[in-house]
Amino acid sequence: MNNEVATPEFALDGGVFHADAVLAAAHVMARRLRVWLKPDGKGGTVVRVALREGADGTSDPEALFREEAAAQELRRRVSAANKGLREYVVTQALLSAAGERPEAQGGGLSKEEDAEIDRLISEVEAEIEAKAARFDPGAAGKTWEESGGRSPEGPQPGKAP
Amino acid sequence: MDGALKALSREKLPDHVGPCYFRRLGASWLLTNDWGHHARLDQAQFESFFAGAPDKESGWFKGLVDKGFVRDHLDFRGLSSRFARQHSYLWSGPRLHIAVLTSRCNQGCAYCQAGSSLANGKGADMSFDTARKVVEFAFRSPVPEMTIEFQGGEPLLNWETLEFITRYAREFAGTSGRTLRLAVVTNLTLLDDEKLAFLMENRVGVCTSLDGPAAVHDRNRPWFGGSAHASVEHWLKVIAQRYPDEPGRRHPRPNALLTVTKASLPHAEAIVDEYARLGLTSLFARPLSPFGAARRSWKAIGVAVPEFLDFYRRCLDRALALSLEGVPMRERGAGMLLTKILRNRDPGFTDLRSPCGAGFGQLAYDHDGGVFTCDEGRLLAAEGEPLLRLGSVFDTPYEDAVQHPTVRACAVASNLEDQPVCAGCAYRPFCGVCPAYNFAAQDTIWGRMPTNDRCAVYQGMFDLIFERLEDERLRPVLESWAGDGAPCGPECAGSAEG
Repeated sequence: MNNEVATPEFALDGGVFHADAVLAAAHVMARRLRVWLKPDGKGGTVVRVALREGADGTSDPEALFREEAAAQELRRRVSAANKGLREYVVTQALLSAAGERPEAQGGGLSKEEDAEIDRLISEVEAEIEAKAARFDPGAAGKTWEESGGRSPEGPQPGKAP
Repeated sequence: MDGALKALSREKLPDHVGPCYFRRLGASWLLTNDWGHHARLDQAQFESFFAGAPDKESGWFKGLVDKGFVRDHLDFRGLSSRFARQHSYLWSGPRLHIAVLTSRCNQGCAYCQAGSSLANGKGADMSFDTARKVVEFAFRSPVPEMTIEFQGGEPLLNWETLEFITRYAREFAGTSGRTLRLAVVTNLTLLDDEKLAFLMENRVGVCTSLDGPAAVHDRNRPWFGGSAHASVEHWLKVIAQRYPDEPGRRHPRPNALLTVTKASLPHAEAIVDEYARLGLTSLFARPLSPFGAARRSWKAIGVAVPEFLDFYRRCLDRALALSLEGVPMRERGAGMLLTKILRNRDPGFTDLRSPCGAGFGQLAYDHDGGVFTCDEGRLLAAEGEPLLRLGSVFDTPYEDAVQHPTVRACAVASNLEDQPVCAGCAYRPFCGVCPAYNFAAQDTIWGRMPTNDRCAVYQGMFDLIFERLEDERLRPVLESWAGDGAPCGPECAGSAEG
């Protein structure tokens, strides 16, 4: 550890911090902190951290790590909650650009009904599965001629300068 | 713990929170989403959005609704349309084709990233046979518009092949009904009146290097023929005087690239002023990349990330100040980011896409006909690492090259959804990683973003630009920079120079 002094151990509650969020925080902080993690046996994580040499010495390493873990946990929750919706919009974009008419979904969902959102997500997931099977991701790998372009009547060898 | 993250104490995320990313910027928060929208929230608004019960009639909340941040008000059709426009490059194929006409160069730049040599051997030049194959290969791309960029070494050392490709490619473009842009990246020292006339007549954009006032430029770019700066100054003036824009006819305006070394650091403002003095209306400040001679002389000339970002901030602010005074000046790196942020468009910079443009956005052709995912891939090969070589124009079919497993690997490695840090980054909708850079700097095409200098540089640039966008005086200037393409095409700004 050279001159890097580690904090005492502190615990992150598994009920609040998913292990993925803790790992992500450790990864993200790699430039500033050394991080040691171990399971606490109750679904949570025991953590020790130390500021890396050259990092801002005025920072409290435990506070830094806790804040990053909190941010990562929030990101994880936002991502998990919206995975289906996000994939639906992206798939619609992919299919639209690939020449297939996307299904119209109107200008939005009914405002307050959670059940309606859940039902839609289920439909979306089924639709993604069905449409993904027809999507040709290799279109960009085709030649000009295969994609319907006019064949170039290139200058004959010897004709060009 | 930060008060803004109290949301974590809740068992369930509020139902209204839609797909988004966030980042603290000073005292406020930046929200972005995959549809390319962004919003700034103060602390109270941020906490209210993620943890409390926001006032749904408030202006800021309605703004989030309009921008697709609120889960139960998503305009699926509009958002997917924005996403498709932002990622239109995914379906087009390689538009940028970099032809390395020679690996020879007549300058001895300490930071040369192009793997150039001073050797005079003609074996380092692209032959007519190879050039013909390169053009035919490039025109197999399924794109209605394309750019061929002449690189080196110093490409004017192989002038005959430059002429050959220009004529051959123009003829090809004409018969196949496609739009062709041509550009040459040159140090200008070998230009003469006849060559310049040819370039202008054939609408070949000129992109050169200018590292600042003579003392800085000549120190960075020694030339045995005298002052390289004097040569650049001479030809920029000649082009401006001899080839002004005329009604119905626009000549390509020259561009210049600024490579930032230790020697540049004290001179940020003077460098921008030098660009303005020479009649240039934009600069593109780039950090050194760990390729070629730059890697070997890093200790002497390399710039740490905080130093570069401080330099960049001063350049940006000087360019903004000049613009406010009525002197046209634009920092092109900022312009490209702003095009993404404010215009929801891809500026054509293949290094900053997700996935990156390696193989299906661009191809590079070495002087011997070797085909690479990008010019950086070619540079790696020059150092003995052929990882990003896709084949040769002589014996590799186009389809095999662009569907090469290496192209697929680069696409996967540079897809930000799959990058552990990038996946949750607020700048993800506007950013991109470079597998070739990652390999050169970190020995893996995936890279490790937490300790990746390129990532740190872009984070700093994005932070700065979003900060300046909050300034009501500067915002109109920054808006005018967005989408303002460079005359020789924004692509050439991203390529390593000779």
